[in-house]
Amino acid sequence: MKKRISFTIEGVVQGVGFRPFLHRLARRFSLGGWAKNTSGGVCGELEGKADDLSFFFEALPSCLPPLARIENIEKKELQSLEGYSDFKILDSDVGDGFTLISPDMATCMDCERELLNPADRRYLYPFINCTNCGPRFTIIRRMPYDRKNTSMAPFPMCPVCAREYGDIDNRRYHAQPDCCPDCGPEVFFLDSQGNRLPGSALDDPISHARRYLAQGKIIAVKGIGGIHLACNALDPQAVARLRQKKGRPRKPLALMAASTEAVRSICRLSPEEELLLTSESRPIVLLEKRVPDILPNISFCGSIGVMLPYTPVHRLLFHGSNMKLLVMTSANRSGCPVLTDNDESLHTLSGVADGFLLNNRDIVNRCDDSVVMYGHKGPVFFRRSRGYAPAPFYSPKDFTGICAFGAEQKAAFAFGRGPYLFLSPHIGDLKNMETMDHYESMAKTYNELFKIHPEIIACDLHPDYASTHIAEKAAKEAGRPLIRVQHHHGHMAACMADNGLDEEVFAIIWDGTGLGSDREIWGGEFLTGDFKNCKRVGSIRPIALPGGDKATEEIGRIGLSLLWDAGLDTDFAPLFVKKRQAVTALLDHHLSCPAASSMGRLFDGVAALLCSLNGITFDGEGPMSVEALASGCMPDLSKDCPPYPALFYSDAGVRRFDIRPLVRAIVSDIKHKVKSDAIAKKFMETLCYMALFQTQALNPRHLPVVLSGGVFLNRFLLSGVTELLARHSFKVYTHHKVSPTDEGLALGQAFIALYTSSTTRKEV
Amino acid sequence: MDDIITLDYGSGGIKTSDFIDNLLVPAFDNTPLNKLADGAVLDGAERLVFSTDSFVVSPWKFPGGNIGRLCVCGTVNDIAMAGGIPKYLSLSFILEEGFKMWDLKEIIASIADEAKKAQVMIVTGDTKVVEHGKGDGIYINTSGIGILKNPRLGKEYIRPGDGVIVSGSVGCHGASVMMARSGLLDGDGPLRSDCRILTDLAVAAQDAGNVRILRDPTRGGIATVLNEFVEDSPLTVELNETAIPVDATVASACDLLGLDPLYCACEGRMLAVVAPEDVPSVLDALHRLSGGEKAACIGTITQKRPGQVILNTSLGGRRLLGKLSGHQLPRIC
Ligand SMILES: [Fe+3]
Ligand SMILES: [Mg+2]
Ligand SMILES: [Zn+2]
Ligand SMILES: [Zn+2]
Repeated sequence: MKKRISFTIEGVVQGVGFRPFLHRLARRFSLGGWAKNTSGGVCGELEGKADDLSFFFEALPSCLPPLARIENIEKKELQSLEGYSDFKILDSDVGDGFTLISPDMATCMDCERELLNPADRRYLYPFINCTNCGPRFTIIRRMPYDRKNTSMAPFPMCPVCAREYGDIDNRRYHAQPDCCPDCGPEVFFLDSQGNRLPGSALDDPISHARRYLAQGKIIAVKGIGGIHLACNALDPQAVARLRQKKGRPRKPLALMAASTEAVRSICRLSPEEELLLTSESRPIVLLEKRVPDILPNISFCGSIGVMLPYTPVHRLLFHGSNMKLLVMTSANRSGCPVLTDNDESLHTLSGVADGFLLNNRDIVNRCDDSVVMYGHKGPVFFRRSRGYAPAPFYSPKDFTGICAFGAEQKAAFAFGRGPYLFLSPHIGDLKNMETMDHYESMAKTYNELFKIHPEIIACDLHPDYASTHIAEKAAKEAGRPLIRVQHHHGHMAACMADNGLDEEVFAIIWDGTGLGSDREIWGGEFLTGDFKNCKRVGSIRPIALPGGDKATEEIGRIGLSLLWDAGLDTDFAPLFVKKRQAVTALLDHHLSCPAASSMGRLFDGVAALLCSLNGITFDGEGPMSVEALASGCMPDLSKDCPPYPALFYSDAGVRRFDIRPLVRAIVSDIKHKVKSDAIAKKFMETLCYMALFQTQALNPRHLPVVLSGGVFLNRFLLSGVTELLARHSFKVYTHHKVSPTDEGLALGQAFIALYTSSTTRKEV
Repeated sequence: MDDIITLDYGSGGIKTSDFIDNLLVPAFDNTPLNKLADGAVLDGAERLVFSTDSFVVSPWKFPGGNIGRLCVCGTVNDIAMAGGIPKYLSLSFILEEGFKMWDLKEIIASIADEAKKAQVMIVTGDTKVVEHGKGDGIYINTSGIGILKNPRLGKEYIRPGDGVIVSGSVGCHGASVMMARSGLLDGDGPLRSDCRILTDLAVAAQDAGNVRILRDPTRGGIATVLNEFVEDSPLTVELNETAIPVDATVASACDLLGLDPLYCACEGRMLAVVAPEDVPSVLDALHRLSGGEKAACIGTITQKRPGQVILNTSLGGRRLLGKLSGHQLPRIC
């Protein structure tokens, strides 16, 4: 018996070869009908034998195209038959629905094979892609995802490509960015003056680029979500020059390696790490060096961030070259977002890059490289961006209208629609207006692509975060109240959401600084609560920050502050005499010395004392320096008590870790010439025990424990605290889907907003 | 007269009279005040400018000034910034029991001196004394009246293209008071408050060109005042960091304290928004006057980001200078 049914499918179903896949599947089961993209997903009709129809829907989920993801299927049987003879793909419909957009995906194996096959018509063509790979989010201007709505619009397909595009059995059937040397974009190479070097068959733009790299020069390379600065990683002079020109003396640089073998030549690679490294998202993966002193000019830490080529351009840079490792660092003006525009990069990088490998396809949506490590039983995101954004966070709740605006320094937002929270890619520090502009335009893009209408608006409690101002404006425009979320409650909720917890939890939130509900600065917190409520039960002794945020840039001041508080001789602080006296005067007079119960600042202070570090050159240098000292070590958790004292005192109902005995013990070790790597290890082990003692004292009911905050990017602490608590039969949850830093905060804010407003929402 | 202020000086009795007759009247000697009435009857048949301000600075004495000078400058400058010529001041003290008479004399002498410079008369006043521990030594309130000379000043006159002028280096007052508090400053160092009367500079600027608005950037510094110029308007202030005069001593004090000089109080600086064509003539007029030597055009009015203040930094970036909610709270996470 024949039947006709209509269907709608939601999920990542556009731009991933989904309709061709339906076509092939329909043909396989001799079904007629049609399908088309809508702004809400894909819809269509099928007609055929009842059995074949059920076979079709049974087979559907198990043989999806690699990038597709189905969230929901709805089917309805229709009254009459239409007598469809075949299956057609119809033009897109624009309604008020919305659809998921695939993140950008690394060149697939098939495309890579064609790219390097001299017989293929796309041999060495740097824009090769197919339905299974290539740019997506970064080229989309508006929905639906059709070529005319992308930055491929100026490149009409040639007849050959058009034939592939229309051929259901072709891997490029309905691949929107499909193109070839005859019809697609082209790369070109410019010298430092912006003059185009002539291209020829023997001397094409990519050969110029390779030659420049081989000569130790720095080139700018336009990739998929932004422009990189590249140089030969094994050429110390080139690296030194890049560091000097970029004003980046010490911060580790990311590498791109020709292959996993090249990665293995410098780093250890576990099977899990290899999976991350070679996944189609192709993030930068932080890997442990094979030997600690390898490439110290690339990274002073025990680890190096490495990625594999993810666009044909990158692949070709290595092709036929004996360079296997390139530095690939985002090209930007200090503190500004990564460059995406040809002209702007020529202008901005004129004194930095010796050459420019650019192309004539616009990057519509900027998307920085993602950074991830394989941490405690899963990936830990430092930065969730290219290859992941704009794939949403899914939870079976109604997030429609929820807009959470995140924090300031690692700004990122989360906008809700249906069961999805769309998390922005990495945006950066909103202190700079260029970054603010990027944030606001990305928010606008998300609003349009996912048809977001703000109804419930959440932001951080800090009144001076730029993101708070943006949220205030949005709330005013929407005529809705603003939900201000305490910073560490936000972190706690983010980790709960990340792990699907919806119950009372105990939270250990260690970060830099965030505004507390008592208007003091927090950052070493022990909380209990859920999505609605939060109570601070433990913390650490507040650290006076002479000069406020200035102390975070000159961490010697924090070192001094620790000594001063511990009643020790302040001569020991790594500051010049005059500065030392001046900072001491600030402390003596309680002048410009906000107090912060911050774990990040404790690390800063210890880094200052242990590494004689004062002026830091990048955010997080202090904590990273301490962690680097202990690199390659695992925490020793076999003892009953910590190597340094972990004492506590009660302060208005908050159990505080007294840092003074710890500081005294550390200073005593330094004075007795104990090796600094041993001290760093003992310091961090003590913190692990401190976390355990606090948890035992403050979490007697053994509530699940969530760990969040940027300090938990520290591998040693993350594994130490997790293991120690687990050993004492606490159930511990850490981040795997969003970053534990402020970048992940918007997710927590969104959940808190949802729960806070849920009573009012039901009435509506 | 005693060596210290006692609660009696605020009682209204003999000691109060003693204080007024022997300390205040001789210092500010003028006809309306000498009558010692509750309110002063003032000459004039013109539109007036009236302003008041209270002063609670601690320590009361700081390099470059003291609370006495400040309380005259503050109110006089407010009148001058409103387009008036300041004429009369009231003066009220709230003293803490135990405050040194010697110090009070020094303050009063400064008030007299500054009033003379400002060509204003102190025509009415009041003194109260609070118990020891209930005040911070000394609080002063002054109110002032001036004759309105320029009724065409205000935010509503600002236009795109206008220049933003500051009459001298910024942040000196706030930085020196903070440093004085740390005990790190002696009076002889180069870091001093900019506390001074602005009437002459204000008059000169208005005579030299079309001035849209004048303000003395006291609390919150130039960043806060410039925000007030454009908030809720379609206009933007765009500043060039390199053009903003900041004394090296102020820069290093701010660096130590973790403060931004653009948010530090000035007590003798004037911000003027001036029609584009008149920027050179106004600058020229200011440069001729003492206290205006370092006057500079620090930015322009545009429409790039309505209601906001943009700083083009010396590094080539741009930063939004928002209004702060209060103290500068740490933000680095
Ligand atoms: Fe945080
Ligand atoms: Mg005033
Ligand atoms: Zn492919
Ligand atoms: Zn083609």
